[in-house]
Amino acid sequence: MSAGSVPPGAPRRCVVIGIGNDLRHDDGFGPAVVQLLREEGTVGAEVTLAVTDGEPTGLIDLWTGADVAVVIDAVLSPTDPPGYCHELRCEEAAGLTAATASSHSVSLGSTVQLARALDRLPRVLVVLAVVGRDFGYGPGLSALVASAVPAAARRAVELVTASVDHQLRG
Amino acid sequence: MTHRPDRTLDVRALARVEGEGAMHVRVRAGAVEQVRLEIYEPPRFFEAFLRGRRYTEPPDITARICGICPVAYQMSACAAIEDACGVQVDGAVADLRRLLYCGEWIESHVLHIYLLHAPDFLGYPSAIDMAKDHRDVVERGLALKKVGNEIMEVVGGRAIHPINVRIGGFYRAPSRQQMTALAAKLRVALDQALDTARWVAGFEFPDFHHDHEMLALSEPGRYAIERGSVVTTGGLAFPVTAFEEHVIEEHIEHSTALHAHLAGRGRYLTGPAARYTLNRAWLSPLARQVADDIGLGERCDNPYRSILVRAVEVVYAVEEALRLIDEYEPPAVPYVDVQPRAATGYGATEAPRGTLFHRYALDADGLITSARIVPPTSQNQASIEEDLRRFVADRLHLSDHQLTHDCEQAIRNYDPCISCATHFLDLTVDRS
Repeated sequence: MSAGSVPPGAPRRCVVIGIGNDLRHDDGFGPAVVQLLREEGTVGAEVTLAVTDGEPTGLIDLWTGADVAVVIDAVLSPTDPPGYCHELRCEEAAGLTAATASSHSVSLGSTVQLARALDRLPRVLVVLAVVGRDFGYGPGLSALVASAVPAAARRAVELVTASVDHQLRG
Repeated sequence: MTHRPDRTLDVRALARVEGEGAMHVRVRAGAVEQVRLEIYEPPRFFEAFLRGRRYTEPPDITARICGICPVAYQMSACAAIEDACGVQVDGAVADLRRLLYCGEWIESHVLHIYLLHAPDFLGYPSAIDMAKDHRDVVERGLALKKVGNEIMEVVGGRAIHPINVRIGGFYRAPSRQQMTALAAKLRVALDQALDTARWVAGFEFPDFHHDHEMLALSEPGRYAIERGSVVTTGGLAFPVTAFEEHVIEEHIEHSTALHAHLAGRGRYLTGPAARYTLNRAWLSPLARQVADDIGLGERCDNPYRSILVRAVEVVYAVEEALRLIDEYEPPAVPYVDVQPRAATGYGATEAPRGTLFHRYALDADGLITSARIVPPTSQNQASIEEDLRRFVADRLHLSDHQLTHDCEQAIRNYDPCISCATHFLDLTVDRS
């Protein structure tokens, strides 16, 4: 899971990317975490905070050349409770597929596979996939999902902090 | 095994097409008995739930029909509503609409060329597999597609389901500064578009030709995109207001998409090949030269070569976008005021996949009393099935696996958008 685009000795660069649409209730989880990080100001200038709709070329551009990229997205789960956070490494993220053969939407898994083929993966990629409950129309997260925002923000900060870097390399 | 007189081929979920559908082929006594494109994506009832909504809402509602060509839905909706209200939009606002549409053509065509269609010609199961061996090529495609996205973002507010479109024009006009930044990227994109055309020209194309009548909008003086009247290769010509007199839709049992035919004439084909064949004369000199250089000729009736047409249309769209930006002066007011009246309006534009027709009837309060949407893929479905029937008949010696694979490739020639047509792919070949 190396990114050949990061030159040795270059300054550490991290990115936290919230994927989602804040007008589709819990799909706005990723953007809500990024918003909280912006408000708290707890990450340094070396960390880029970004929100995207998940369009693959835009997503790949955001993490290209990064040492660490943390992607935060809301997911559906038939078994886990709303607000439950799955922490996925690159290989697991590459396995995330959409339940359709259609090209109307390219899954996060396909985007990771494409980035790998293009040698445009970050050196470390972590996906925080939080289980959502309501993906209907309208603003605002459901209560259990909203309560998971601070913990996801804290974990994103930990992940982009050098002190945990060795854990990620493993 | 490959010479069994009776067999069935089933593809239950066609890949690398927009939306969800299946294909079923039944062979009896060594002859193709039935070919069906089964559109099983559920009916979406857009025409029904537009009833009772305000005349201002169709651009935002109908954009949701498709994530690949939302601008087409917005532009056809605006054209139809404005027609009903007796309003003509021209000048800088009309030019902005054409620019937004150029962005969608670039984004949609480049997606199809690089990520959906090219892997078929180069023998890869997917664009991801192709990218492992052709990294620079795929990077070029992604960069070109991104420029299309950026036009959508600057003019439309965002790349998917733009939010800046309103009846009469736009909520906000882009600044001259935004346009200048866009132009710099488009100048690089023009070289990438030219390289794309040279690249696809090197593919090998099976010798397959159809004799379908082809239909497209045409506008003397320029390549029709966001307006025009209807013409066909059979010599038919009529205004958009007469579309429903000439285009007859009917329900087919195996499809949630309506099939269309020309009254008294039969099946037809719309889309890039039809546009090129009917409107080649109105391409820019550069795009026409590229078409000549890559061997397109005067018409395109080989569906495999549609990838060449898409590449030429990308060159045209990039060049046209540059022209529009070069001439751009932000309008003082980015829309024309549109007041409702009790009337029926008609609109048609050239979506990336072909002619897209809308018709709305309004009451005096501006509420929609009826709506009709005729998307390109449903218009093409009968012709695609007929082509597949001939295609399969010539390839019955192939194994089920190879025949299924080849049929899927053949279907992708048409870049069908099933979600739009649902009102479409899974391949079944039945030889038993």
